[in-house]
Amino acid sequence: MLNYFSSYLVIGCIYGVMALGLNLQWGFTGLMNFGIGAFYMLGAYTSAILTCSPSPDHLGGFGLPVILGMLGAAIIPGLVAWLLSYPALRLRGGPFAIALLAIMETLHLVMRNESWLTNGVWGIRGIPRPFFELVNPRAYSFYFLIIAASALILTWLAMQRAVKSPWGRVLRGIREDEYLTSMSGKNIFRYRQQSFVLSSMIMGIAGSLYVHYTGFVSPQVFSPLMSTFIVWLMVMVGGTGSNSGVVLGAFLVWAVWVGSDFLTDLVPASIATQIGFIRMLAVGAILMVTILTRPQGLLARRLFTAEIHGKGEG
Amino acid sequence: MADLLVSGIIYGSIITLAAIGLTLMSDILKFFNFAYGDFFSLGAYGTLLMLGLLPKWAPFPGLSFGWGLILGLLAAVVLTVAVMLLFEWMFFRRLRQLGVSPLFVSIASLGVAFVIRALINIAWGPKVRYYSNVIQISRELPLGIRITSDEIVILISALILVALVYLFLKRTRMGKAMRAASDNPVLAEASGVSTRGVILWTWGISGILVAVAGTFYGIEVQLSPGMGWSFLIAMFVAVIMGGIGSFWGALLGGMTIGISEELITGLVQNLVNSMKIQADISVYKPAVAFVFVVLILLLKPYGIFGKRER
Amino acid sequence: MSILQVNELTAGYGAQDVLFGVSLNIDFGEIVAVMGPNGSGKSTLLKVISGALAARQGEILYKGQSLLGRSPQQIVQQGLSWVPQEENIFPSLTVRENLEIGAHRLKGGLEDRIDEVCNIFPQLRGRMAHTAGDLSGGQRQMLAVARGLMMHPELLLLDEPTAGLAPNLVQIMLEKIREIAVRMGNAVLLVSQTIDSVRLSNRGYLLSAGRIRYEDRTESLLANREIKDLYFGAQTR
Repeated sequence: MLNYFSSYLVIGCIYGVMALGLNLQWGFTGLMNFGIGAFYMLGAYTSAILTCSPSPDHLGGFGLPVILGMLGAAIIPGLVAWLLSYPALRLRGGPFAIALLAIMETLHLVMRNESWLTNGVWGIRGIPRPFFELVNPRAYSFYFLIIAASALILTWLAMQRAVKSPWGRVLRGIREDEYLTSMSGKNIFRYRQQSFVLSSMIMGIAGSLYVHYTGFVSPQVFSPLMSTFIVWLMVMVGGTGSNSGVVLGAFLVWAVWVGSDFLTDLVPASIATQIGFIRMLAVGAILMVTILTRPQGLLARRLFTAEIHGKGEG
Repeated sequence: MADLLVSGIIYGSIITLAAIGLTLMSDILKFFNFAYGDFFSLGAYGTLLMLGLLPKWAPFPGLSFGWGLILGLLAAVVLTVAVMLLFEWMFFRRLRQLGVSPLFVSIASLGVAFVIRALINIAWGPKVRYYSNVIQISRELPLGIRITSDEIVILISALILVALVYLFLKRTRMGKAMRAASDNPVLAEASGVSTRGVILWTWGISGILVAVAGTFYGIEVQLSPGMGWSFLIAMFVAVIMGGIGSFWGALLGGMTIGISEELITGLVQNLVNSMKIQADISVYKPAVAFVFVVLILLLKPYGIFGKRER
Repeated sequence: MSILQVNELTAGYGAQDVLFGVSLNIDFGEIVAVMGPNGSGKSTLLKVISGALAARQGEILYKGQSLLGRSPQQIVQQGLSWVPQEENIFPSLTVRENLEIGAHRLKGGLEDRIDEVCNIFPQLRGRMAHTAGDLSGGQRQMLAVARGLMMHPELLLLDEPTAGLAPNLVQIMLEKIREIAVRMGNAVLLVSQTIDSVRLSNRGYLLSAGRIRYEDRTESLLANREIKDLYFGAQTR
């Protein structure tokens, strides 16, 4: 039982990191990115390929230490984000969301189909899990929790500092009134790019954490629902713009998820197989209700509340 | 090459039908409705449902479908529009009244998308389905074009429907009111145009278009719960490329995306095959869409026929 | 009874009020000017009267009946027509379609009305099939006013009808406005910064920073040196 709980916490921490990353892009900079799963996935696969042992099924297997895997998991998504920022950041709002969605879909399909690279749908197994040999395998989640929680706390601290920093203030200025901010001489593109790249790196790290915890990666794990939209829900519920809020949102939403797992034991089999879709239904319904009743999320920042309702427009 | 062009044109007409509805909706309702893809699916599955409820009439000679599908489609259109109006009334209208900003309404529409997709999955399951098991053989037309009778019907019907929508927008009182509302909503109101009426008709027209498009896709390929979601990107790119609110833009965008996705991935596939490399290039269709949207917006930031920024 | 009575009107955008306790009135058939510098709230005033913007405090009586809470659609049907300063046509519609939309709630007599309006603006007659967005500045303004006339308004709200027009066109437009008032007998509330437009009116109000500062017969207003210099500065030379 306790095992379930610590496992919940680990994944909660990982999603917390993701949510913090999304908060940076969306909450602070106003980038509505529906393709964040791409960077999560890139980080995961990079880390897997760098750290696991050689195999004929897929590329890589360089057997590097986990820490280097995580580094790679930050660098590769960051690099990809940097390259993409040139075309993609010309777009705004809906078109930007669609473009990133298209990128994520493409990447997802590539990961599934390019078996020489990723072993396609069979995934990559045997990804090294830090300290796994040293501890009782059944209690692994407790030990990994230390790593995951540290990552979450570090990211949270970093994001808190970022918010309050001059850099963060410019980002928020961009979100609230881009025109005004550009008038003060700031290079809008650079700031958005930095936010986009940093955010993608954070998500890459989250992906890396995930695979080093489960020891396995496959495209199914990174479905748009589980890699992108659940994170959006977490941010919406928890509070756009609030670092603590989005982390809260992550744990809350993940609790609902894990909770529904327990439900499958209680309900008849015919419903149990549908649990995946019932979850999808729940995500949709919760998102709808949240925006209808409290669009700014639970831990809201007042300025976002005003922006949500489109006030401040002449 | 001709084959790719034909399938591109078919694919393109389906996208165009949906894109015309989507461009109207994005323009007049002022948000990106991410549930639109799932309404596409709903239209297709609605036809499937109705098909099952109606008597099993024989297919028309040469086609894979008969009266069952035609009547089923009509009923499905009514069903889809009704569902969309329900969401408008219970949800989107409230969001507008609350003054929620368009960006957030777009995010909210994601919720609607998931709800509909989940319900379709639960009702019909994830397995692929077909309207009929009649296999269509392509017939040979001049110029080496191979096309099935189904496809000819789809093309002609799409053309007729597009023409009808054009006439509606151009000739009818409500059509002109919608165009006016699209140009200048404030002035339209000040001229006496009913915002309520325009909004309802927008949902209605786009509902008709998307349900038909979905069914056509179901006839041409297959039905799966995620079918609309996969189309979402192509539909939106067509709208963005053509300019939000532009009828001709949606037409041009839809056909361009449809044809180029087929042609480009098809040609690269041929190339890859000839080089004996094992790869499925069709997965890169979203990438083609992405490149297009970026290219066009580089040259024309509001789309080809786009109006000035709102 | 006046055709329009505005009492202590307060309105604004977002957190900011723009109009503070504005009062004015217009009699049937009168041409009344509201003048004032940029940002004084003149356009906002017309927006509130036409129903495009909600009033926060105060009252607006049209022929004795309150307009508060009414939609722009209802207000235009009652005989009150608004021609905004900018974005006052439907650019992708044809000239004819613009007029048709102007008559959206008209019950019968569309062709006759188009004819009447084209008698005032004959330049439109030959251009019915042209796309409105392709018209020249002067033609656009005429179309904008023409659209506003389609519903036989008894009160016409004109926001800077001569703004951006070449000098010869300004004169033509002003003549047209006078012609409209005379021929169709409607009242006009004219918002303007230019002396020429103001001279068209019988009476005028001066609006500055959201408040009415002066009200008088036009000749007296314009004879007042202070006002002339303050608000019409360069134009009086």
